[in-house]
Amino acid sequence: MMARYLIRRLLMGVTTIFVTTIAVTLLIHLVPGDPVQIMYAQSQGTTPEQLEAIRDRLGLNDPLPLQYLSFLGRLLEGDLGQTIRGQQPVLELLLERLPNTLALAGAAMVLAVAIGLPIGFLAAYRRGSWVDSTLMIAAIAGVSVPHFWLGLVLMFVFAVNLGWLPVAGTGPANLILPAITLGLSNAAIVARMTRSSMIDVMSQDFVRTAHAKGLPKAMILNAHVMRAGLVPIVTMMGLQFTYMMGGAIVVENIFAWNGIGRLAIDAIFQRDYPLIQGFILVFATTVVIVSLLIDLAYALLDPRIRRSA
Amino acid sequence: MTVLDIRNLAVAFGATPVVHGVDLSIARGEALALVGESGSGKSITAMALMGLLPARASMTADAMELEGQDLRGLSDAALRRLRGPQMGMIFQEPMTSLTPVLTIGRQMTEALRVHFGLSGEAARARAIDMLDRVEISRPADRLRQYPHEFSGGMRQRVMIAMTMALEPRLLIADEPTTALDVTVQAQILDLMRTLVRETGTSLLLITHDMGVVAQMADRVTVMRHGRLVETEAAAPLFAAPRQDYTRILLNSVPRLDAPLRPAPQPTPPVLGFRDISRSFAGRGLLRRSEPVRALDGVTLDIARGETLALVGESGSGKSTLGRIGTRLDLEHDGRVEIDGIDITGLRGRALRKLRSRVQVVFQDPLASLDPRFTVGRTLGEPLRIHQGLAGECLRTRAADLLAQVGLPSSALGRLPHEFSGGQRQRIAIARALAVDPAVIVADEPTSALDVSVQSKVLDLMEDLQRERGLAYLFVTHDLAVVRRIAHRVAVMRRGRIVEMGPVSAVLDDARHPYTQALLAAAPVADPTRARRPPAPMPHTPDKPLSLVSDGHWVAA
Repeated sequence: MMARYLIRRLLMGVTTIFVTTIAVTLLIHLVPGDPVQIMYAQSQGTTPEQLEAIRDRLGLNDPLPLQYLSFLGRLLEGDLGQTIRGQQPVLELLLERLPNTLALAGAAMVLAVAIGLPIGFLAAYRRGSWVDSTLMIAAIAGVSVPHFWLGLVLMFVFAVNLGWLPVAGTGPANLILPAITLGLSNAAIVARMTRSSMIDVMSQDFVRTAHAKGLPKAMILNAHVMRAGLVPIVTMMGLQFTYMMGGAIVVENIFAWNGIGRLAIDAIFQRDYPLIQGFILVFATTVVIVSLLIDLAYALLDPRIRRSA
Repeated sequence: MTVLDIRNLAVAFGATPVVHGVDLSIARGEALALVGESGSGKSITAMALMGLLPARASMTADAMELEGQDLRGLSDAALRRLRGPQMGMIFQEPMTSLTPVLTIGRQMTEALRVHFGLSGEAARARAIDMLDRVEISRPADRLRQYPHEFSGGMRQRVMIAMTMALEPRLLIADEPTTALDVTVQAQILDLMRTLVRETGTSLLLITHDMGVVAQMADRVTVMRHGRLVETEAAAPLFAAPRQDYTRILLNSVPRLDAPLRPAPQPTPPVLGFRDISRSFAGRGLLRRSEPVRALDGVTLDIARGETLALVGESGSGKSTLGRIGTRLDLEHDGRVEIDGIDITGLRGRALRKLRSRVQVVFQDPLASLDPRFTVGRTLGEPLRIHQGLAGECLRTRAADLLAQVGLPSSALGRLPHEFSGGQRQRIAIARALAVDPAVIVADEPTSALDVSVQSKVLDLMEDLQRERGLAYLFVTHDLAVVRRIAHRVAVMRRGRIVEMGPVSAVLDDARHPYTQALLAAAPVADPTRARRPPAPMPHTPDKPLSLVSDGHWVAA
């Protein structure tokens, strides 16, 4: 049962990536005008012959289906082409940077859950009290703060004024500030989700049953409310992680963190199409894998899926 | 020996009193039924007793004693220790009253550990013993399963086993069988009677169903609008109710021995089903499971001015047939005919035009009326689309429709939530009437209503039928309602008709064992009737229908 559920999810994931490859091939043609001319708009010295050579090299003169097939063929060999600036292999470059982004998003996620889950739970438990109101006002504030602003403030206070942490760069100590930047606003989202999910569960019939059995409140919250309430929260965290990968692009650029987000921004400014294509594919694949892991966790938490799906 | 003594209980939500001046007392081993319609405060009274009122509620009482212990002013912790071993409670909704993410075993043993300090093994043994007593097979295996692996009736058995495992002095059962099929209800009630007798537990049974009361209660307390109407031993209360309200309540209950409706003049059928089958395939992108056969070769006709009742338990296919009749479900085999013309293949514009011929009324009027549409807009929409009315003309016609279902035209500007359940069902009927249909498919139209309201809605449906010559396909699980409203009845089981014929023939001279079982299981509002233990459901292979007497068909 469980295996069938996972295989189904896996196939859906593969389909998603497949659709992404089509989108990525079309991407280069969706930009109005000639992509190669736009790429080299700034560099006056490129001759039409050179532009034609680049077009040939990128395969842009081939019919679209052929372009797609050759792209797919190279992809299956693990070849995403080479960057236009620097002629480096795209896949290698991205995979070298990906762990940094995953580390940043992962650290931020851990932080968001570690802060958001207890806060949301406490607010739900003390629903309607001043504790609840205070926490939820703080959470709204947390959601509303833009990453770039929070990042700059943190950098200013802890790196520039206090000098406790490095300003920018890539390394273990450098991870702290960007992870807090990314984690705090997501902690607020996790807290709000947890609160509403827990409040929803607390009003369910089975919680009334648990009270009617005379179970202590702590036991009801731990065993019955928590377990049932976690199911939607875990689903939300999967989405959250992918948002966080997106957020990482901004934060990486503030703190000069060497992740794929920073690479992507550079690639976009330089119109380095092979690199942009590679970035989208790697990003999509990461999101698909994370979703699969979440589905697995979901099945472990909810026996209805584990047993009957 | 008094187990429970409550005097002058009052409960208020904020400044609004919801229960006042209620006295209850229950002796050891006694079963007291607390009866009343929705909003009578009967459930609130039980929750007050359990100490489970919502935080915004406040409660006072001159006395509230359980086994001689004063419950008033007890701390939360002290009350909690009483819940379970002193007073246990079973709720109405078996489908949602067990925690979905924990095993049955975990849920059955945790309270035993908390209250009696039983070890894991001892608690498990007790849980197995209790599951065995509520007649759940392979109890040891069942402990490892989750609630979703049990049917509604089985879950209610688990609830009862779980609650009775603590041997409470007082068992409170709040509508314990309302959500269940009649044959399952009969089994559960029988089980509760047995357990209560064996353990000497006192029972506080909260219900709206006078049939259940008659079968279960020694004494009856009637409540209305949060006040006590009367308390009386069951036999005299049913024989000669002293209070007017009790009399109205008892008279509203449809009875299985009520007089029949006269048969309508024979006319050609308006709606016909020919050999209808419907399967629901296992859904899913890559998953293939055995298709479920919801309907299997059903053929029947409904004539002008006639009410045909479709009776059966959940999963019998009766609602599916109703959906096919209203053309809400088009994925079926067999033919549907209107006025003798095959309309099975009609789609698009032709189908839309035809929809005005067959209309539908659902069980839950609040869910089937758009909450953001005023009544005027709900009634105006079909009038505009099907009859092209507009402006003053449309308004007059809408008000006219409301008048026909007994509502004032001032209702046009109001929203569904401003009405009571019965009024909403009247609006739903008016909406169905708007396009001047020949047939109305009514799917459990009165099941969610109180009996006194149900009675008035059934009266209204009868009147409308007489005036307009409407045909009703009336889907219900309640045989007494069938007797009250229908001319003919078709009993369905597992997608097939097992018996069909005039109401008198089928109900008074039931031939099929399943019909007989349904009749035996139906609670009768008469405490002097012998409490027959329910017959085990006979399993017979399905056979084609054959004629036994004039218009009476039996699958045997």
